[in-house]
Amino acid sequence: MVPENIQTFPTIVGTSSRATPLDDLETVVALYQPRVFRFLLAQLRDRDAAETLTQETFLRAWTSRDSFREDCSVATWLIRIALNLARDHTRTGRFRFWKHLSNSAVDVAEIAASIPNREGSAESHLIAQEQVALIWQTVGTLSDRQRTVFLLRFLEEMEIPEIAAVTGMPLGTVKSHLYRALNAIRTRQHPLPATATRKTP
Amino acid sequence: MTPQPVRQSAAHLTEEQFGELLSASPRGAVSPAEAHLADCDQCAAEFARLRDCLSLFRQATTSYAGKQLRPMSLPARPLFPAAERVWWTAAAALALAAILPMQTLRQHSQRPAPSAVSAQAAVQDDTAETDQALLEDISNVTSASVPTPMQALADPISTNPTSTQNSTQRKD
Repeated sequence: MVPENIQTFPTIVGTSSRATPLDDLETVVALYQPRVFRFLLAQLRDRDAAETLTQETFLRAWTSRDSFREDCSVATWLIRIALNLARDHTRTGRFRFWKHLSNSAVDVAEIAASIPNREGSAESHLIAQEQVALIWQTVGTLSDRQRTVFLLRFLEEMEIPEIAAVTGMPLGTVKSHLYRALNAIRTRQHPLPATATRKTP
Repeated sequence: MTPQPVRQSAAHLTEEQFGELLSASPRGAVSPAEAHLADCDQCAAEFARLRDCLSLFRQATTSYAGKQLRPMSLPARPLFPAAERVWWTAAAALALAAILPMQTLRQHSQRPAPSAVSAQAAVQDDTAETDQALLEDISNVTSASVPTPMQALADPISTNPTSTQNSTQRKD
């Protein structure tokens, strides 16, 4: 019997014509599920949607594993699938409607409180929580592209060329979105003095 | 102890340079922006603050996602792989081969017994014979030129008045 808090993965039928790193699904899920889920949670800001799409990501990866050419890492490939699913998901009006009513939307305060305890005063911990909450709020106000690029860089720690490959955007566009996102966060975090906000002419 | 003089450059880092510094991976060569950080305390502090904030963001998100994550249960192995599919098909065929004759046998057993069938057929035959006789009588009566009650008058010299009696009586 499957415990209530564990999702049941759909039955998988079929075999691959050649060996791929995705053949051992159990290992792939164990290795990459936390990462895929984390990205989708930050991208969609909804736990249930992130869970569903994480599952869908692995199902897609399994069924189309023959098309995995190993020109990128498994993680990159999975994140690309997850990103495509998230795009499709957020495009629907149904998603926007349910997002307003959803009980599974992420709580920024809860995330801020998830900072691992570090050495330091209670005051510095509170300040850190405030900073995290502010970043989360600011990321929520970014455009879809800016948010995606920001999360891929600073949450998934992908390199810029890797982000370009995953999103299908040119390198220059990726950088542009990233810098804008960073500037939004920087401005929101701490209004800067005029001397430090100089823009390149 | 004399305080360290604050190093400040006239031109601070631009938005793009901050972005570049924050998003770039560590490299061997020192870029002009990195060189500026070494000379400007204000930009260095700003850079360190942002870098710490982004690091905190990642830690908090990872920790939160870890708490929210529910493991997916997978089948121990993919069900019905190619080799097993043959065996399952054979098993299904065997099961069908066993079920079909049993079903046929069951249908046979539900049919009525042969003696009951013949008795029913005999009753049906008898009824048909009676019906046929009745129809013949009606036909005879209607086709007769003289009605039966008037027959005695039609042939007064006849010696056998009962010869034209109802065939049903004859039968009986």
